[in-house]
Amino acid sequence: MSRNALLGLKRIFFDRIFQRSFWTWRKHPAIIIPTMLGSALQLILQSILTLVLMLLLTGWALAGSLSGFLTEYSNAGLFGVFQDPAFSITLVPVVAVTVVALVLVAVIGGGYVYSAEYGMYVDAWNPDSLPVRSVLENGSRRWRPMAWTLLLSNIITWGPAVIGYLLIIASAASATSTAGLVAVIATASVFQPLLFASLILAVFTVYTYPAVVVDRVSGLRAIRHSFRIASHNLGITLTYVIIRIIFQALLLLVVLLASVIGLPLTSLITVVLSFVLTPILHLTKTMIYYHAGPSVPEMPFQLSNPIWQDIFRRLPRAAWLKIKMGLYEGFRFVIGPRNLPFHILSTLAFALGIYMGYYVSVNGVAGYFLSLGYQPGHGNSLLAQLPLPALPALGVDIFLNNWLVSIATGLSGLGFGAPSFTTIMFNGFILGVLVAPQLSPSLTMFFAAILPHGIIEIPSFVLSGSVGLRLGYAALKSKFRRGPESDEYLSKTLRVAVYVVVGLAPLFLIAGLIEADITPFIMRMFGWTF
Amino acid sequence: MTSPQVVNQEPSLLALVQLRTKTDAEIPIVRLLLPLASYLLWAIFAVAWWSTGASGIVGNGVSASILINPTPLVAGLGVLGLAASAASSYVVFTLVNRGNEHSSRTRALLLCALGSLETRSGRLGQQALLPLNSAEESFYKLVRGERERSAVLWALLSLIPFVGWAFLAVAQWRLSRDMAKHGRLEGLVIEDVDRTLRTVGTQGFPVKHAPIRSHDALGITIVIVSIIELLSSIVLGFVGSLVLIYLTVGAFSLFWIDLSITDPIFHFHYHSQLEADMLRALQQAVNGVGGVA
Repeated sequence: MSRNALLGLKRIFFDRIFQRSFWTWRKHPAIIIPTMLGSALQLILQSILTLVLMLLLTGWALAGSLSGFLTEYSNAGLFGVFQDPAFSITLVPVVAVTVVALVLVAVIGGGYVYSAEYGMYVDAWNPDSLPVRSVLENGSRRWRPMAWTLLLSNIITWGPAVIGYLLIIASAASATSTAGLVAVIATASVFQPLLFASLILAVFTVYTYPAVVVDRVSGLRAIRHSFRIASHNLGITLTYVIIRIIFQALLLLVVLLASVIGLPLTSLITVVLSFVLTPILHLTKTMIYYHAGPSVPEMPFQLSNPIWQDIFRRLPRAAWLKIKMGLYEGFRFVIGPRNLPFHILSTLAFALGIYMGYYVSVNGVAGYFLSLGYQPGHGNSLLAQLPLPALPALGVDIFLNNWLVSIATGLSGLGFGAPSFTTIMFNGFILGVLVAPQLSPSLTMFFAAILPHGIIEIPSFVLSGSVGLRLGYAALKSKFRRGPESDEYLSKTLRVAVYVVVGLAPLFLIAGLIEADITPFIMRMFGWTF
Repeated sequence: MTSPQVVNQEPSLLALVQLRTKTDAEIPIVRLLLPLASYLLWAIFAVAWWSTGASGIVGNGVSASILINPTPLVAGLGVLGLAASAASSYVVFTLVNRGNEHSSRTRALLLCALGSLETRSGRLGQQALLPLNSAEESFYKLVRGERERSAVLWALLSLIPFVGWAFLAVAQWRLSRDMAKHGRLEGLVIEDVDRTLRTVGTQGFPVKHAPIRSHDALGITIVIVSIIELLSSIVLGFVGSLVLIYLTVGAFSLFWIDLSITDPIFHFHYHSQLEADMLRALQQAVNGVGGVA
């Protein structure tokens, strides 16, 4: 028997791939950029909704019908508003266009993000360096097949569960009679097997996205490839799926238990999931698929350095070095004279948002909030309930939440700048709503609640919007003035954007700690109650 | 950033032997305190949870409110318990990973040794081909027979509150069975390699057997005791029997972790001697045969 005959015994070892995935993630921090883009995509989807909301409210305020709309909404709910011809004539087409826009952006944007993400994993596995440019190259390379696969894969996987859910909703509408109740029970019993079928399908379609980048197939072929690899390697596939489920369930349990003792950890867990676990697990999945290929040899025996020691000793230092670099890049970005138009535009978006928010607030929204029970001069009672030692944890939670939003704001600029502009405008809009005299007893009290942390937080948000706008400009330039120079400018801007948003972390940390620990005291000094 | 690789794609025999200190590391027995702490904390959690209203579970179905809204004390104990379980699952990871790495290194080492003998098979002579072929056959059986369990998976499964102890026991059982099988199968390959080396005129190397016990009896005992305790729910109630199962399975698992930490040590010591001897004998074969030719 020759040694070659032994090669027929190729096996895929989960732990070897998982550990190497961790080290690949450590070696190439750039592979988290697509995950950042994923959260940016979520923000883009939100910004579509917020833009529609802001425009509708402002439009009705200008037409003098905002108060009527809010009264109708309070009395008859959303369905009642849709049935009123005065509002449905505007609402129905706007909602239809918004839904279409959301689906299109989710599919096309998802295609781009997944194409960048999984393409980068394949690129990162072996080479020593992985430039930021590879995000854009991979994103633009296979976004069409990935978008098509994303749509088809989700329809096939979650279609049965959605059908079951729709059946329940449809039968619930007619649950007033005995026959209707029987229909609800029948559809509820159908829903469970349909959901189960979806979950089983989810196991077998787990490799669909890696198939698009590794085998360069798309649509049904990618799904077929995924089914084949999953069924031929069921053990390792189930290992992956179970590990993924346990990780998420345990983190959820930690969040739930910690929240009971007053430790808000939601944002921390989101950061861990988004920037650590998701890239490592997706990389592991991609490499399981890659190594399942017949032409790829078995991974040789390798010893990995201990992961835990790295996480506790080296990782914090590596992260700090990146943040320091980000602070430096952020400073350069702020003072760069060429960036002045973006700073001005971002500030204008914020100011416009404040004006629009103020306008809709004084024209009806403030009254609506008061009717809902909002008490001017009364702060969030949660702050008074939390034990004193939990306040720094709340500060860290606020910091991470704001930081994640600023990352998404900055990187969502890749959608030609509009999402960044809208997000900054929406933040101003919220402030504008709150500054209305009906909701803020006095400007002094308003500033006491906003300024202590806002003096750091607001410029940081505006800065993330500014870098997003520059990214949008670079994306437009690359789209309409094609050429290596434009592509280079876009890559460079993306790199700057990533560093700037990473470098904002210390500022948001300071702002978050002030917001949780100092702002409430200052608010009390100026007459706020909790 | 550090590189993940300690060895190259094609590690040499010497490099693999040198890796022994990393793969066959002894785990300090003091680490047993970590699962012990987890065991005690979850027991305290159960008592606290029970005393703050979970007793409503008995006969009345699960009380959703206590599951969704535990008291701060219970939640605090839960957080501490999870932290202790994480430390405990690290011990499980270390044990399973050590078993995997030892087996993988042994396979790589034997493959390397066989490769080294095979490339010189022409010079070794016809009489060496028969034991070499047998060695390759045994190696094939070793590769086919051994399965790597995912240390990450078993560590995470044992991290699940309460249920994790059952997974921990299963992990230990499978680990001890795998190690026992490994010892048996590698012994056959080593014997054949030794025979091959002796056929070509070298002294070979002393082959002793260092079997690892599989503790099947312990596993079967846990299963039988758990079934009896489950049946005792007629007397103790369902929750009472679950508590009893937790206490028994947990205690047995702690004992088994102790066994898993100490059991392979003799086998690892045997490897330290064997690998040095094998390396010397292989070198001798290369030099000796080269001289004859």
